[in-house]
Order: sequence, then structure tokens, then C-alpha cells
Amino acid sequence: MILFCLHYLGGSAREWAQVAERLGERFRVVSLDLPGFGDASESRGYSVAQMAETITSIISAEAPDRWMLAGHSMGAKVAAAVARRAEDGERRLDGLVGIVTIAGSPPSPEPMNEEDREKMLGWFSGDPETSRAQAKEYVSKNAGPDLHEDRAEAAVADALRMNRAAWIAWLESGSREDWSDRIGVLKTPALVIAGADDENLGPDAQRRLTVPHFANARFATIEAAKHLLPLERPQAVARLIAEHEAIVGYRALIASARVSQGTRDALEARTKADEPDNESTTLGTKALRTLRAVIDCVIPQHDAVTIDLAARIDRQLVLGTGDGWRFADLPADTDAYRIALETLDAASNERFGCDFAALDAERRASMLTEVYDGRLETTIDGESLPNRLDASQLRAWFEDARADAVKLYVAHPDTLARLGYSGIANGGDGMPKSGFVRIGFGEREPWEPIAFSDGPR
Amino acid sequence: MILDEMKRYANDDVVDAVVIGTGAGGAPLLARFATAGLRVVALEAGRNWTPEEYPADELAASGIYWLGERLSAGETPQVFGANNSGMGVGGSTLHWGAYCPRADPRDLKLYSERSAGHDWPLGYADLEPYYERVEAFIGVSGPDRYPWDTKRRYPLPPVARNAPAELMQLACDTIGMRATDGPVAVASRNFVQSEDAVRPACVNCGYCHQGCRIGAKTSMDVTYLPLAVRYGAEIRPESVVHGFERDASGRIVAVIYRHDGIDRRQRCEAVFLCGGGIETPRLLLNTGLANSSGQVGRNYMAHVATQVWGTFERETRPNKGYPSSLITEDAVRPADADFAGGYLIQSLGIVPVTWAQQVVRGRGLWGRDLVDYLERYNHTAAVGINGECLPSPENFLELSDETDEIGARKAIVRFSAGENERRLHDHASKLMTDMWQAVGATDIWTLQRYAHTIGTCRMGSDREKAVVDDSGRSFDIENLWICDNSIFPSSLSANPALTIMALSLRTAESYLRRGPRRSNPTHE
Repeated sequence: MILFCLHYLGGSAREWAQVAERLGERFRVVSLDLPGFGDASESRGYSVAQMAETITSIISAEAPDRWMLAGHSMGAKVAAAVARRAEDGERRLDGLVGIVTIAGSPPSPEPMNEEDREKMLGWFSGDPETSRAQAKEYVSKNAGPDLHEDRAEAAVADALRMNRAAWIAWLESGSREDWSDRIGVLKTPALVIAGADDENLGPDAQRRLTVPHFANARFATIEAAKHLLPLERPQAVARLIAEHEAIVGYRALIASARVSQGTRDALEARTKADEPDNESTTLGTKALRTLRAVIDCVIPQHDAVTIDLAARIDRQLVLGTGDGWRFADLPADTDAYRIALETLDAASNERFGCDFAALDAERRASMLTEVYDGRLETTIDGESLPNRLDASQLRAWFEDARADAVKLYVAHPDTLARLGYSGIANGGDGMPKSGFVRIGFGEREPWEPIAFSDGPR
Repeated sequence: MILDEMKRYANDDVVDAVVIGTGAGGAPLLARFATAGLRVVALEAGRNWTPEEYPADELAASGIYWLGERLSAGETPQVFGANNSGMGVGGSTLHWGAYCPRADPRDLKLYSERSAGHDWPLGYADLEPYYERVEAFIGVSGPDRYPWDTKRRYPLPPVARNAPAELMQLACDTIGMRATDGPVAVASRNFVQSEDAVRPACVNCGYCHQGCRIGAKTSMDVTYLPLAVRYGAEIRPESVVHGFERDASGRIVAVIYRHDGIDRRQRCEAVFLCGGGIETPRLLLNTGLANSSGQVGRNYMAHVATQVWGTFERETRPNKGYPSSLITEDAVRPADADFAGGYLIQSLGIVPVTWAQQVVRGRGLWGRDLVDYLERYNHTAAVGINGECLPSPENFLELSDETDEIGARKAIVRFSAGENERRLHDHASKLMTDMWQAVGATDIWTLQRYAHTIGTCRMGSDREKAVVDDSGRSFDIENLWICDNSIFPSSLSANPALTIMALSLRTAESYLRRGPRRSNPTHE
């Protein structure tokens, strides 16, 4: 797999060095200099369309079978434009299987403080000392305080060697170009990465401006990081890219002839991303919020897996498709959920003066540990309160809730990819079925996916 | 299965027999009756399937499990749903594990041996010829030489061993136990089921419990039921029985069932109730029949089904291959046992949702510990048991005040593992932990679980203490027979289905020998 990487404004191909190092054998990483930057400082053509054309030529010269495209900040907008051309059937771009945007500049005009823009437009026009100070300010403003000194220095050097015309072009027009209609909604499986502390292009902006342009978007936030993520957190970025490649590969496996249509239908229905603000259909908004807080403790999801398990449980309850049994001590499933969550909120309010969802992680965990142990007392003087579950009922409900959550979590194709699960591909439609041949201890079919925890990451 | 061409009877036809349920209890006798020329109708609550429909997906396969809600009570409440009871033409055999050990002769006489449990009103010699007939017909794969019964011969060679089986063999070799390929009702090579049907060899796909997509696994819809249909039996899917009509003498003259939302009434000379350990007593209790002994619903038993899991450095990929391809019967009567009876040990592979839910319910993991452990799935393997469970007056099935969608009261199943079960569990846990340690497993943990639904309509020789006699015939109603795991007087350490099938043929022969009361066909 080849990974083409596009850098941020003022950066260069070498911003990817640490990420590439960590992607090991899984990828051949080809980092490119956009026109006006890095070794291409003399190249011209700074508009988004021109940059996309330049990149298209370079990619087609490599003629990769299967490739992915990663774009950081400015590079992300170019990446989206290239992906649009690929999806529109440009033969030179055959083989694009996945895209990663990192603190991406969205297809729409980039949100930017106008004063900052004005200020930056004036940069790099004075003496070397001043330019250097401006480059330093640029890097430090966009990275957290713990950025490695060598990398900070390299970033400053990149800013100083770019063609100032390219800098001006992006600030004045490239960042303002509106590609949102042109890009539309891309089908290529996407990973959208945001730095939690990024000022203008952080998680909210990414969810609002980037995610809607991808029909198959996964979203990840890197904590305690700002805008220069490949420099600040190369390990996290590399891991997320490798995982995305595995998930993209898994989706390709799902689409392959090894998987039956019935299995594929079930998996693809489950792959659809949850709406960020799923309304409750069964439990009500408040109870769903509490349930989300509970399930977050039960299954703390990886940064790039955001399956809204609570909303999926809620939807399962509305269907009324039970699982064939329940604890006799508990009311019917939906009532058990509703009353258990009310009980939890009531207990939280008694102790801490707020709902369960408003508690910090430690308090949530400690309350759930009491539930798990069957000692979260909700009786007064030994009398059960109306509309409360007692400690043993809560314990039983919590077991059911955990079982429901883990079922929905594990059945999700992205989790199955994480587990390196091959069972879905046990033979497609028609006869004969391929099944498995290499089934002994330590044996693996050449095509079987590999667990993330086993992969070279 | 293909039902398009089958013979059909009218509700007004007085058929020779109505069979309720098409699983391991109902299908063999249905086929036997049909081949003997009887006019028989089977009523099946679930739908009809074609094997190609089964997805390789645990959630999407839920259509073959009995999902009518049951209430689980007691200290060790039973998990139902994907576990235990099935639905569809073929009953639980659609999802069963196809593990086919025979009963150990000693297990049939446990009370005589240990003053514990309950003796069967029949002995191994009564079952053996039927075991042989069933094994030959359904195509059981097994070893050349079965160490615990050396004269036994299996019709097919063993199925392939997967990673858990290889590890269990190594563990047994290391600690000095015998082990061999399990007796498995899965075709290890192409198996000629009938002149026009060849069941292909198993391709090690690992989804036995979600329905075999190629018919390599024995289920009733690829074995006995096609035979039954060929000889004129009618199978009516999606037909839920909820009542009986009786004449003044108490004989059943018609079976009431709901199909497409409409109640229908099938007239008949005899009824064979084969609904399994939960639905059979539930129907009898709901209709108030056949319970002069007060034993309907009593003595609910569930096998001790302890599993010991371990993590291995190399990949096990436990989804691959027939899941439980190795067996040892060395613990059927352990020398150091402080309990009555014993257990079989098998190797275990598993599919991931089932596994994860066991981890949650049985290991109690949650949070980061859970998520991290789940990622080790490809490195896990287990050994597990099927062990004796003694009948107890505290374990029984009764009716709830809650009703299902057709107005029948739901079952409450009370089950608390007793002292004997706990001791057997502890013994097995220790032995299997030793086995896994012997082969270098890490992160070893024991899952306490119980499986199968047994008892509840006990067979016996005393009508005061049993629901049916040793041929399965009700003591109270002369034309009612029961054949499923509900009639087991004790649990046995063997998995129940093979014995149910053997009993089914035995009941059929007994009925035929008796000279069944035949109706004069009203229309042919």
C-alpha cells in the first residue's frame, strides 16, 4: 500500500518523516512537496485546482495499484479535490482506497480569524531575523508546548524556505476557495483527525465542516494536541492511519466474494455511522444521556471508533426484539433500562448533587463498581423506593446492559477489523464454499486480517 | 428445506399422528411413521429455512433461536436465547453443536451407583441399537477406535482438528489423559444421505451455531425431515400449538395451533409432543394436561458446562474449524471425585460475539480491561465440559402471570446450582486449568455456565412420580407421547441430542409395535 502525504501551509514533505518511520512495513510512504513549498519552492500553480493537478500527475507517475491519501491542514483540501477527481472516474487515479484528513482545511472557506490573516499576510517580507521570529511564532502558535525541539526547528526552517508567493496565495485565495459543492459527498472511506486543542480547525470545526463531505467517515480526536499533529503526535497519527488502512482493508474484505450477500448486508447496515446527536426513540433524552455515560465506562472506545452504543441499544429496545429471556427479578427490558437509569441518576443526585452523566470519570467508575458489586443501595430504612431498582436488581440490569453493549460493539465491522476477525469471510454465495483450510495452532490463511494488537504498529 | 411438493392434509382429516416440534425429538419419529405408511403432520413454531440463507453473523442468525421470552430465576439464572432452544423447521438442531457422545451406561443408573440423582427406566442395552441406527443415518464422524468403548464404530472418519483441539491433545498428552477426535454429527467427507441428496464435507467455516450453510452438519432438515416428507409427512411451519381438544374419555382428538394469526384445529388419532425441555412442559401447564403426577415442570436440569479459557502466544483463531473436535471421557468417573457422576471434556472454539458476551457475564470484565482482552480474541482457546446435574425439587419450571403474544403464560425457570454441581464445577475447573497451564496458556480464567434444558416431564415406571412411561407415553392421556429432553430422568454427562434421537426412534418403534389406531382417511 502506498500512502501519499500532503503537508500544511508553510510545511514540506519532511513533516511526515516521523509518521513514515512508524508506519513501518505496512506502507510505502510518499510525502510530496506542494507547489511553492519544500523542495518545490520554485514550482508554480497555487490554486487548489492547480495543486490537485500537480499531485494527480505525481500519483499517476507512480501508478500504484492501491493507495491512500493523507492531507494535513491545507493538504487536506487538496486531498479532497484529488479524491473527487478519482471518484469521478479519472483513470490516472485508479486505486484510491482511503483518505485521511488531519486538522484539515475543509472544502468550504477555511475558518480563519481575519486579524490573524492580515497579520500573516505581512510576514516573511522583512529581514531574516524578523522572518525567523515570525516563523517561530507561526510554529509555536500551531503546536503545543511539548513539540520536540528538532521538529520545531525543522518546521521553522520549512517556513523560511517556502516561496512567499505560495504563502500569500493560500492566505488570500486558496483558503477562501469554496469547493464544498464541487467536492460534494465522497464515498472513499475517510478518517477525519482533529487535535483537541486546535483553535480554528479543532474537533467541532471538523465535525461541522469536514465530516459531512464523507459518506464513510470515521472521526478521531488526538488529545492535548493542537494543529501540527504529524509533528506533535507522530505515533498517534501513524497508528490511526495504520488502523484506518486495516479498516479500509476490512471493508474491502466485506465487499469481496469470500463474504455471502446475507452477511454483507448485515455488516454494511451496521457500518453506517451513527448521527452525532441521535435522538432517543425509546428511553427519552435524559435517560439516553445517562446510558451513554454508563456505556462509555463499560466500553471506552478507541479514539477512532465512535459507535454510539447507547443509541443502538435504545433502537434495539424500540424494536422490542428481545433476546429470548430476562432475569425474572427485572421488569421487561425497556422498563428495566428506564428505571435503572433513573435510579442511577437519583443516587448520583443524592450523593453528588448532579446527574450521573455530569460526574467525572472517577466518580462514574466508582458508582458503577458499586452497581457491579450489588451494593448500590437505593432503599431507605430497608424499604424500596418506588421507581427504583434495588441493589441486586441494578446488578442484574448492569450485567444485561454490559452484555447488550458488548454485543453491539463486537458485531461492528470496525471492531471485527480491530480483532483481526476472519470468520465473516468463511465462504461467499454458491457452492463450493471456501471455508478454511489452515485451521491449526498458529496457522493463518494468507488473506486473513490481523488483529491491531498483533500488527506492526 | 424443500416443502413445495409435500403431501398436504386438511384440518378435517383425522391424521394418524400430529407431531409438535421438528427437532431431535420430533423429526426421527415423524420420518419413521411416514416410512411405515402413517399419515402424519408436524407442526413447527418456526419458519422454514434454506441453508444458503444463514449469514456468517451472530446477530443476523437470531431467527433460528427461540426468542419467545422466558423468565430466569434462582441463584444461577439460565441464559436462553441463542443458547439452548431453537426455532424453525429442524428445531434446535439448526443451531446445535452437533456433538454426539452416547450416554455412559453408568449415568443411566446413577441412583443405583451413588444414591444420587435418578435411574432411568431403561438401560444402555435398550438405547444402543438406536444409537447405532441414528449414527449411521445422520452420518456421525469419529475416531477409528473410541478408547472408552472400543467396539464402537463410527460411519465417517474424524473432522479436522482446529487450534483448540491441537492444544487440548497436547495438554492431555502432557498430563497423562486420553483424548481423541470427538463424535461429531458433521460430515467429514461427502455423505450420501439419500439417493438424491449428498451432504458435502465440512469446510471448517466455524459457524455451526448459526446454521450450517452447506448441510455438512446434521440438522433435521437435511436428514430425517426430507425422508419424512418423501414418504408423505406434511410439515407446517409457523404453526404455534397452544391447545388441545379432547373427547369424553380424555383422548386428544385435535390439536389447536395458530398460523398466520388464525387458530386452526388439526384432527388426529395421536399426538407426539416434542417441544423441548421448556416448551413441552409450558404447553402442558398452560393447557392443564397430563399432570396428575404433579411432575410437569419439575426437576429442571442444566448441564454443568464450565469452560476454562486461556491465551496463547501464537494465534489460535478460535472461529476456524469445527468448534469442538476433541473429546476425553476420562473424567466421566474421576477417581478423586467428591461428587456424583462426572463429565466429558471437549476442546472449544467460538465466534466473537458469543465469546464477548461470555466474557462480560462470566468473567465480569468491563472498561479498559474488557476492551483490551477482547483484542486478544485471535489468541484464545478453551476446554469445556458437559457434566452431570442432579435433579432437585428447588429447580423447576412454572408459569408466570405474564403472557406472550398469543396469550399463553410465559415460563419462569428456577435454577440454582446445588452442592454436587458446585463440586463438579470446581473439580473440572482445576483439572482444565492444569491442562491449560501444561501447554503454556496465560491469563487463564474459568467460566461458570450451565447448558441444555433437561427434565421437566420425567419418564419413569411409577405414574405417581413420572409424567411418561419408558416409551414416552403419558400416564394420563392414552394417545399422548412426549419425546425430547424433557423426559430425561437424569441429565447424563453426554450432550442430549443423540440420546433424544435414539429415544425418538425407540418411541416410534414402540408405537408401531403396539399397532397404532389408524383413521380411515376421509380424503386421500
